[in-house]
Amino acid sequence: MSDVTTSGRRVSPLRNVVRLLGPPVAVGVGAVLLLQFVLARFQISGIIIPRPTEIFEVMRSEIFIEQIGLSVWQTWQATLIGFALGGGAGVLLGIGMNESKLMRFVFYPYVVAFQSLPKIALAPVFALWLGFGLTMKFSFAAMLAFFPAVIATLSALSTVATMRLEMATAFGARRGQLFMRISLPSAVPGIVSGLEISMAFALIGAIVGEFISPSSGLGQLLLTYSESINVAAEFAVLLVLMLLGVAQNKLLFGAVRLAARRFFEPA
Amino acid sequence: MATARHAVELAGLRHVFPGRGRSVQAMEAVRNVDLTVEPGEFVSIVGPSGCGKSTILKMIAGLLRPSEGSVRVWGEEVTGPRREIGIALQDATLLPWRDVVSNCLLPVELHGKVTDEARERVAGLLERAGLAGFETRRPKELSGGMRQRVAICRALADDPTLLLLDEPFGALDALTREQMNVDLNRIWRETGKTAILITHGIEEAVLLSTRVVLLSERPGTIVDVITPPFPPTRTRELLSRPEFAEVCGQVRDRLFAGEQAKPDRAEAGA
Amino acid sequence: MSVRVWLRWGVLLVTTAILLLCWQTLPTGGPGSTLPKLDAVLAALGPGGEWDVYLRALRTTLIEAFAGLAIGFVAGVVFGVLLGESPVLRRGFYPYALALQALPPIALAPIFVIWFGLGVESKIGLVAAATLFPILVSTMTGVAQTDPVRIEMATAFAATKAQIRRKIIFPGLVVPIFSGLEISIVLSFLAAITGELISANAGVGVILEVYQRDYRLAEEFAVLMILVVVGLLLALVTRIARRAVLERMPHE
Ligand SMILES: Nc1ncnc2c1ncn2[C@@H]1O[C@H](COP(=O)(O)OP(=O)(O)OP(=O)(O)O)[C@@H](O)[C@H]1O
Ligand SMILES: [Mg+2]
Repeated sequence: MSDVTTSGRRVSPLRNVVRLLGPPVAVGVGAVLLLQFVLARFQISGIIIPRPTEIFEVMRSEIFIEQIGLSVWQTWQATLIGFALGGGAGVLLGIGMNESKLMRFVFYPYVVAFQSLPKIALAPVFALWLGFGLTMKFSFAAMLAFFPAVIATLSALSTVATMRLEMATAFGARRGQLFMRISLPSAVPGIVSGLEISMAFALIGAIVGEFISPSSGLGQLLLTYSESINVAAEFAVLLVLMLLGVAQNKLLFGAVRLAARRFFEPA
Repeated sequence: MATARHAVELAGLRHVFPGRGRSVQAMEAVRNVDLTVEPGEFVSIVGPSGCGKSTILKMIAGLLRPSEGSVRVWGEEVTGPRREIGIALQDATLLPWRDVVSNCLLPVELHGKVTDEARERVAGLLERAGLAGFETRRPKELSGGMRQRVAICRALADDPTLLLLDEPFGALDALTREQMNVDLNRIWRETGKTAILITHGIEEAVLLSTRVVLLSERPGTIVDVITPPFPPTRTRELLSRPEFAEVCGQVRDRLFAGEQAKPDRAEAGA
Repeated sequence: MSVRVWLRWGVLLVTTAILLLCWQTLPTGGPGSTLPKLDAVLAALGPGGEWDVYLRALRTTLIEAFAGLAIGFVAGVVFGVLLGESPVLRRGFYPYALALQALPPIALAPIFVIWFGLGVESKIGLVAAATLFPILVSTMTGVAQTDPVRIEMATAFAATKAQIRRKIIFPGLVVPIFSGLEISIVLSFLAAITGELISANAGVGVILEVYQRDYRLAEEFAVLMILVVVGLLLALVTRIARRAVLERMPHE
């Protein structure tokens, strides 16, 4: 699309790629080289900061690849189940609270109270109640995913333009029609943004769950490597976790959000 | 009943917005409005900002209950939104996720099933509004004037007998507005609807209406009704005629009559 | 008051009463029960509770949260302004900033323990790392999205670069920085507790785990209740601060 610069001169696509990708690639390569050089030059122990080559070595090893593949799946499974349950329930409660004044009034104090609790602190209690394993992980993830969804849904639904609602009411829309045809589509972009936060929190929940009651997944892998002071492997796991976060929060939700904006956002 | 059915009858209409606690006081927006609109008329309501024009329209549309008095549409007391009413508001309020045609079909959907007849009617309306070829566009791909025309087509889509327009052209530039006025006049003539238009524009009101109703400052009450003596077909050419200017002057004088009494205005006029 | 209002309060109070009643009667409270009875929790919150333990832990956690937040805030604003002002730097670092933001910050906890040990330092580091990115990203976007027309206008009035920065760009940053800060305040508390849960020698996370290990669930729940109150207070303070900041500082 942007094959024409502001001056109107046509620029070859190759030049454009260089212009866009040049700086980030330069920063990435530069940082890796600098790190490698500085760490080697000043003989900083790999226990403090591993050299990029050491991290690379770990990531190449068969045992790591095997472990990380399994762990990513275990963590993401808990994240997805937790997100589906928590995010879904959150949207439903948000809708309920928007549609029924009574429900809003009754639930509001509880939502506020839970919202202000640093919910991570509930992790030990969850471990106590649900023990080790997948159930504890996805339940904790669901709990963290729940509240952002409630808040976002409620605020998206309650800021739907009054004129739009009045217009449809004047045309005789019934309550259900008003909700399905006006309120809900108007609120979609806001709800999607809320779910994006929910999903990020679900991932946090899954990992904290694995920290607190270690049984499997990336959280446990991090703990294991940390106990054996294998910092290079620790960094390798973080790198993979970062890629998972990017794939899920930026790519997946970026696409969903773009689609939602395209179809639903006010012009 | 069937013999002398009025399109709209407002009798002793009053509306007070209730206050909330101590911070928001109750506000009387409309006081003692009596008005009868006959079938096929085009009535404009003109008045200062905040005088209760939209409030009156909302009561006719069944969106607000009068605090006192009654609203009748086609002889029946209004208790809620009615099928025979089509409405267009200041903001086009088109739904951005629907294309032009399905925006227009919204009222039809809300009232029941979308029939082929309704589709044909909408196609005809869009054609008449100069929107042929834009059926599958989204609102954001249209100009402000086109959006307003879509909103008017939507108001007419389920074949209402009464058209309510609340400053539909408020956000448009003067040139587009003139064009839209001429278009609206043509649509009104061709469809034979009864229409009530709320506007700030004196020229617009005089150009389009069979009667112009003037409201006072809040609480809004009718100060005068003026009947522009022109045939139903109104063209742009009418705008430059001296009779037209004269009627507009008359409306303006009546609207500001109340203020003339204030000393600063009187001095400025002298 | 209208019937509606009475009804609402009635339903709220009845619901709450039922919940509290269930909390009191349903748990057995004996050995093996995983939920302490309401009266036990209330007793642990009363004058007989271990308030010296609670408060010492809370102080540690709050110190970690605020020290870390301060570091994260300063670093975030500085880097945010730097990246915001230079399109080349921004293009170079932005993908990494986004990627690092997508990394759940709490996953860094074990590394910080290796680096800084079990004490407050490792938690301060974790909190700083967690709070840095929201502030950095919102500051950077704020700088980068300054309306170019305003800068042109100021340039036309022969404003120097420093003047443009002070009078055009910085006032536009108050709101975005504050929204970043609001997210970071919540995160700081969260990161501090996570760090403590994983490995530490003091703080709220530690006493939660110790109470649970010793099966003193009433005290554990009492601490959770205290956290709710502290969280509410934090939210309240943030809100007041927001109003104060917006009133005093020039902004949009
Ligand atoms: N929902 C509401 N609650 C309380 N007061 C209202 C409400 N809607 C309108 N009002 C008040 O009632 C008065 C009349 O409002 P209305 O919208 O009818 O004015 P208007 O004549 O349409 O003005 P404009 O020409 O600016 O659109 C105003 O003073 C307004 O403040
Ligand atoms: Mg109005």
